Formats: sequence, C-alpha cells, structure tokens
Amino acid sequence: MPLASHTPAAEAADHAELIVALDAGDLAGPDLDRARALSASCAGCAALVVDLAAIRGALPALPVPPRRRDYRLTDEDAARFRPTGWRRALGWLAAPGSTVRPLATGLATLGVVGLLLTAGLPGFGGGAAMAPVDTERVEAPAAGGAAQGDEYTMTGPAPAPTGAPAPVSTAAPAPGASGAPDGAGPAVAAPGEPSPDASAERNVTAGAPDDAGDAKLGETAAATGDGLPVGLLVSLALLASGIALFVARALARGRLA
Amino acid sequence: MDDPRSTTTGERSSAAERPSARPGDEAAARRDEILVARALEGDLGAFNQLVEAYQDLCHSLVARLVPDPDQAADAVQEAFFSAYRNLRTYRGPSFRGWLTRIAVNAAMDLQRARKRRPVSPYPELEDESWQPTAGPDTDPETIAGAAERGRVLAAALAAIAADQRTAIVLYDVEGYDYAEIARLTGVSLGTVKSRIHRGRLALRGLLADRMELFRS
Repeated sequence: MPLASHTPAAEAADHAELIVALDAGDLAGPDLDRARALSASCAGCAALVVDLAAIRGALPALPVPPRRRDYRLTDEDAARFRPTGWRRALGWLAAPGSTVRPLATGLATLGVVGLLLTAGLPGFGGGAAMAPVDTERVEAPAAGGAAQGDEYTMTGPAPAPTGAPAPVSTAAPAPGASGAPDGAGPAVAAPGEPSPDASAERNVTAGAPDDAGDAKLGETAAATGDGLPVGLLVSLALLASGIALFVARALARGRLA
Repeated sequence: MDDPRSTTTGERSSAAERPSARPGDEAAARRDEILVARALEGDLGAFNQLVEAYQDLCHSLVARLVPDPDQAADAVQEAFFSAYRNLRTYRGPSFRGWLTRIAVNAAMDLQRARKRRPVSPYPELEDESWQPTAGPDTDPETIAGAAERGRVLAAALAAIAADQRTAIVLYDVEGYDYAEIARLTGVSLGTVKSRIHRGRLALRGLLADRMELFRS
C-alpha cells in the first residue's frame, strides 16, 4: 500500500471506490469481502451504498428534451454528400464488399509467384534462367562451320573475334528459355562487331526463318534494354500494384472512418 | 432495466445487438437491410425512411450525452450526414448498432471540440410546458416529484466530466454493457468501469443535498 493511502482522505477515497465497485458488481475475491465488511461496519459506507442504488434507479428515467428537428436529408443535402470524383473512388476502395481486396490479393500473389519463377527459386527454373553466361561454351563453336554456327546461335552468345566473351545485352532470357542446356544465356551479336561465322551472323541479325532464329528473337524480345527480363518486371509491377491497392484501401477506410 | 449489481460484462445484453434479439427487432433489421440496399442505389427516400425510424433514438441518446440542446441537434444531424456519406462502409449486421456508434462518436467529437465552452444544460427541462411522461393514474404530486428529480439529475449529469457522463448514460440509461461501451468509445474495459464508478461518485457528491428526492 502506498503511504498516501494511510491519510484519512485517501482512506475515505479508497473506501468509496470499493463501495462503488461493490455497488456495480465489479468486485471479486478479497476485495469483495473487504467491501462487504466495510458496508456492514461503516455508517458512511452504508449510506453511500444506499445513495448509489437510488441514483442508479433514477437514471433510466432521466427525461429527454423533446426533439425539435427533422433530421431527414433534403435533395440538396444528398447532392452535397453524394460521393463524386475522388470520394467515389475512396468509397469503392473502402467498401466492405468491393472487389479491391481480392483483386489486390490476386495481383500480389501473381507478382510473388512471377518473381519466384523468373528470378528466385532454382527449383522453379528461375535459377537457370538467371545463370551467368557460359563463356567457355561461346568459344567452342567459333571454329565450326555453318551448321555449327546455327547450333551456336541457339545455345550460346556470339563470340568476339579475339575469343573474348561477347558483350551480352541481356542478363537472362525469357522464361521459355529456362530449359536451355547448361544454363546458357542468350546470344546477341554486338553491333558493329564482325562475326566469325557468316551464317551465325545472318541468323542473329537478319532473323533466319528456322527454329533457332525464332527462339533467339523470342529471347531478345523478352528482354529490356536494361537487361531485366520482362517477366521480372511484370512480376514486380503486379506485386507493387497489389500492395498499392492494399495501402490505398487501408488509407481510404481510415479516411472514411 | 437490469440491475447492474447482479450483472457482469458477459451477462448484460448488448444494445447494439438488440435488433436481432427479438422477433420484432429481427423484422426491423431485415427492413433496414432492404432500405440500406435501396439507399446505396441512390434512393434518398429509402435513406430518409431509416432516418425516420431512428431519429428519435439518436436524438434521445445524443441529447443525454450533450447537455446543450442545439449542440445535441447538430450532433444528431451530423451523425445522419456521416451515415449517408459513409453508407458504403456499412457492413452489418445491425444498422441500428452502426448508426448508434456514429451518433456516439458525433456527440463525443462535439464535446471534445467545445469542451471549454459553457452551456446551459437541458434548458427544455426548465420549460414548465413540458413534463415527463406519466401514466393516467399518476397523481400531480408524483408528476411534480418526477419532474423535479429529472431536473436535478440532469443538471448533475451535465456537471460531471463528459467522458464519465458518456459512460454513465450508455450504461445506466441506454443499457449497453461494458464491452459495447468500450467499443463505442474506443477505450479499454477497465477505463469504462473506472469512468462509471467515478461518475457515480461524482453524481452522488453533486446530489448530496438533494438525495431525499431519490430515496422515496
């Protein structure tokens, strides 16, 4: 017990709190026994119990001033408060039954799955897709003929004339190339650099109508100029959109609350 | 009215859930859902039917929470405006409970905003033309005693702290339980109990000289 409770005023206040809690039925255990003992032994406490009961009994009959206003909305009120523009958007975002939540969940889920597939888990093929370019494989077909050049076009980057690895403008191919053997990356001939193999150069730059050329073009089209695969960007965009919708909904609900 | 002495938090019925407590209330709840749906489609008449159904309830609640009648009327009007603006956020199950929460919040916001502004509490109660409802067999002396008791009690209630008044009106007058009051006012269960206890002690202190009116 704090020292202050030993003063008569503090003790009286403590007793009053016990009695009012007893009156409210909010006591249990030792406090209840103590309050009952107080109300039985202390005249002031007993009087407080009686007064509190009388006040409680009178409160439900508390009179209400008569209503003097009709609270129905007029057409002008309705027009003033009808949601328009951004408030309509807020209402759509915050509405309990709106499609925002499932839409946001779906977008975020698609984004996460897309990220896993394109850049994350090797088990999903993403690891192969993001594997670095195998430079040794680049040099192997460099001495080959036209047929080898065709094969090289499908599986490896174009070699530089000096045998050094060719500059690769893409970090990873499209997901469709994830099954490429040895994790080989895409081959794109550096502009202006001579290719040691004419047929290879033809396939890469002119777009030969065979399967190898189609695959190459697909890979090239699925990459951005910055070297990020479109799949990764789309996944990030989906995830960001989902999160943005969640945040917008939370903000809208907070604003309309 | 339940006797709080014999009740606990879990035993007392929740006022916000009353619409589903009795068959008549269930019908009212179904009617409310239909009217809400029509109002959401732009039918102002449907919303005004909801206003007609609940304006007396909201008025009686807010008028007890806000001593100044003009402020109370403003708070009720603001509550209905707010309900109309935010009808799309209503998620059930009880329109009455949802509207009550809005009305209590409007009353509390208004009291916070005008906390230090002195008001004349319940001036209507000084108007002799208005008297509390009485049965046909009630004698004039009883009516006069009830009117005097109401005046004194209302004046004392207006004099205590707003948060204590809100808790006492919601519990002792409107019949909400502790948990529902905690949700309505955004405070903990312990705070609700404390406000009710202290408010009752404050009332007793203010009414100490007039307790003979209540002991009959």
